[in-house]
Amino acid sequence: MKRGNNLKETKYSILLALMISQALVLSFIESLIPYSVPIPGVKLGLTNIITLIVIIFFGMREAILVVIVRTVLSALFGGGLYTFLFSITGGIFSAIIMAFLYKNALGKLSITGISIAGAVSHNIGQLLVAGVTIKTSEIFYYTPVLMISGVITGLCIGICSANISKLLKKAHMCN
Amino acid sequence: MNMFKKGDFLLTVIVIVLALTALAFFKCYSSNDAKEQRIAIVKANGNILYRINLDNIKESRDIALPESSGEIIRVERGRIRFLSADCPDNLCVKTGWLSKKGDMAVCLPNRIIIKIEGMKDN
Repeated sequence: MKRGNNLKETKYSILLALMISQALVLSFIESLIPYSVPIPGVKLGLTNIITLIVIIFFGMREAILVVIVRTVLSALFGGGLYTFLFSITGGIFSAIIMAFLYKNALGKLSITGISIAGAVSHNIGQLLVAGVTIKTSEIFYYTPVLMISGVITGLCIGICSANISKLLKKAHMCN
Repeated sequence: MNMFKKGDFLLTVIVIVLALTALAFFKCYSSNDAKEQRIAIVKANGNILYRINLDNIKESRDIALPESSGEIIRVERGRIRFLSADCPDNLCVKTGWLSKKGDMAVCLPNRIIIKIEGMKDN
């Protein structure tokens, strides 16, 4: 039995490590996309695909872990302290919201809806930290734009994640 | 699970309505009054570095910001912008010229913000 447990643990850590590396690649790809909207925080949020997948196949704790490792590593690869602060708080905040909704409201919301809630809360969380760190309340003028952009990007990311999780379930990759 | 559910629709509508309400509120607040003078305010880390009356500028000039942030601001009559920055995304520069009351450009990595306020003529 012990051997089986070890195997399970190994598979668990390998899959999580894979998720982290994929999140890193996605955040790199994301940084290559040129955005025409000059508003800080308007982003596609590709890494949210991974956060959602981890929530579905592992759970909230693992999702937060992946967010932390991903943001720390991508900060080491480039990007300043403040960029790191914004992305880690936004990421953790949205992971908590999405995990909570996945656990408690999956019947009422689809994966797409959960992704929309995650994207919007990511943007709002980021904005709150930005407002506190740069000590300027004017930044909250961006709230409406960031909420609407969260709906749009969350929709796209949610459709992707729902399809990916379906495929992964079919392939029995993560169980 | 893949389908768009009623709850998703509701959530989307709530978020959009909230956003539009906030937007309308901000728009009312920042409505332009032709009689007002436009004051550009440059803040770094929450402290006001410069207050520039844009209607009193005679010729264009560049301001290099202190604290080694690498930002350069250009001021012309009636408008102001970030000219260059050393942050990775350069969003502040992409924002372009600010000329109306309520306009704002932000550099989050360097924590610098430029915004335009109105001041009643007197």
